[in-house]
Amino acid sequence: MELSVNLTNSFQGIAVSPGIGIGRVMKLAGPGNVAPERLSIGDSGIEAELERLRCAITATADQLLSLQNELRRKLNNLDADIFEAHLMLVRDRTFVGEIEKRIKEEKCNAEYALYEALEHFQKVFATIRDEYLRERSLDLRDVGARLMENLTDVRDVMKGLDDSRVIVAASLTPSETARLDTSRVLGFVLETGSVTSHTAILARSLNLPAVVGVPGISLANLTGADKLIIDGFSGRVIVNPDSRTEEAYRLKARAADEFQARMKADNALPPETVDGFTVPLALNLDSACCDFSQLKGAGISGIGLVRTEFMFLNPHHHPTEEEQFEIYKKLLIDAGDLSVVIRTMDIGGDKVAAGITTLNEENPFLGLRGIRLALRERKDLFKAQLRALLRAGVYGNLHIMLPMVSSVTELWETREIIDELCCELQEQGLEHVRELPLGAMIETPGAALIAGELSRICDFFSIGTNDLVQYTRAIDRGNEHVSYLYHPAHPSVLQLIKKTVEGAKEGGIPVAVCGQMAADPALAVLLVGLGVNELSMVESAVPLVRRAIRSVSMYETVQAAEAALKCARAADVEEIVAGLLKTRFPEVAEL
Amino acid sequence: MDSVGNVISTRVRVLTREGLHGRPASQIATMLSKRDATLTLVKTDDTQARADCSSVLDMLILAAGFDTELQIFAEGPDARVALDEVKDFFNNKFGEKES
Repeated sequence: MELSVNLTNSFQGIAVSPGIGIGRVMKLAGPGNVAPERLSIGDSGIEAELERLRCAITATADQLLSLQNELRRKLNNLDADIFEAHLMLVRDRTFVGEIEKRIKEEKCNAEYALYEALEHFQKVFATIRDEYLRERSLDLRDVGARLMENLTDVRDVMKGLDDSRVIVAASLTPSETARLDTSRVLGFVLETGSVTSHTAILARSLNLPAVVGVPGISLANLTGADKLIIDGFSGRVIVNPDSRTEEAYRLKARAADEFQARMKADNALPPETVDGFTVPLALNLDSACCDFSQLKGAGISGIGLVRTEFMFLNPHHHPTEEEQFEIYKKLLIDAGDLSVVIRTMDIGGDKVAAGITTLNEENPFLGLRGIRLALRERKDLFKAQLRALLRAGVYGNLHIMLPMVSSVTELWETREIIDELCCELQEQGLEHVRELPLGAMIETPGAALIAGELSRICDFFSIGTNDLVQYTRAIDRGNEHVSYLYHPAHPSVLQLIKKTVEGAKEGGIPVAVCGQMAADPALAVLLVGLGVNELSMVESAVPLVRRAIRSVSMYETVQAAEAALKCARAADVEEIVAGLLKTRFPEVAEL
Repeated sequence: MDSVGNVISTRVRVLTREGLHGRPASQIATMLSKRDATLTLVKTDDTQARADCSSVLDMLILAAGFDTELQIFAEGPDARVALDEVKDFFNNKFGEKES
């Protein structure tokens, strides 16, 4: 559906969660975000502002206490200690003193004084050379955000609203999103973020549209009086649309809803091509927590990727073997017969986890990341994780996957460690499995080129297309200047996928794709044509991909793949798959 | 342990990889809240860098990373016992298991 839009009142971001949202703006301000308005209060207002600050501090401390208690219950005390530091910070002499000083000296409102004080301390933190300690500014920022929220009290503002709103913010922390009344949220527009950021994941799970990467300058002037249309399919955000535009989008929203409902109804149908080939669909999980009761109807064959990095994000506590064992065990028991692929910690690159390594790498994407870090720098953590996995393997159908494999040595070394750990566990009389399928992520051109050799010493491949595209095309995913080159459908990438599939055949092992590419219906079809055996994706992508697979024949996908491999440009490949999809699956092409 | 007037002091080193971060800092501040004493941390290689041990933020900004040497100054009726407590806390690696 083509909509003509007056471009002067619209801006373009990145669509990270599909859907259409139409409604007024609810702006969330936070430190480091849009600066709060500076109000002059005069001498007479000082005491009242100080009192507001004191109330907000008390309210924040109360919330932190109850959050701490709640987390203690949920996590068996693990991780709740961090709130102790936050509790101390919110009443900290130096911190509160700085805010009070600004209220008194600058005669300004408490929000502005808080904002200025936070800016001041951020600058101080920025000069700290020790990277880990420098990042402690995040603790202060989190406390500052809570305090700011209590000064402005978002929830009360939301309570007072008579309509649902589109949330607009520079960024949202997990604790901020957790406190929103999501039943009254129509969607999210954020200045920063990516497909994989927390808010994007949350929005997808709530079926709310989200657009990120919208320039701050566009957001700065919005107020609660402005109406927004956010298009989570195209990434377009329209401010104060005229009635014709709004009507057109309402139609599009309804069409999308109906379409989604029909897709969901397909869940019981097998992901089978029209000529009878089944392409198993699996899920990617960002944590080991998953509600399997909800998955029952989702028609999936297993969990194709469980990321474990989330456990290592708390700099104050890395999970012990025992804690991990309990988490994996629960996941495997819940999953029943479904196969579960757990990826060992993939830290490094853009996934920085404070306290894991003290290395200061100039080019972390080409540095010690994934399996390299595990083997070279933090063998202790790697061993604890493998021991936990070997023990948990007793409880289900577990596969272990290694991230960032680029040589056969890494697989040999890991196998050696696993053998050694099995002996240890045997001696300690701990129940464990001796043989677990061990897989390699194919994320670099180098790994794809030696796929034949790798396939003889591992049990499966999973292609991480996000990184494969980045390393093949030599572009930093986060660098906006080269983002125009980021095309998963580029022939160079397809050649490497083909090479991986051929290599896998030599060792007789299956190939899955667990990157973003598998979640795109058009590209998923192409992957099937290239010979990929399984597609793993976020839950929300399953219905569309299933429908795409059910609407084509294997023969067509192979033909499309062959034609695509002969192309020189990504645009030509896109044209081929779009053409196939348009004839077979017109609804998707429309969205 | 040195003593100048009614100020006593001792020297410690940060023995944990993660440095003096939020959790140990808040534990120090909590210990002190139960004592009638004022404790100040000073970096031995940069005596301008000081932190009041009753303020977590002060201690964070001090940025005492791994192997930083610090002089602790203590003052007040409970100075001796507070100083010993904090010194032990440093020497016991903030009670952290190296993970």
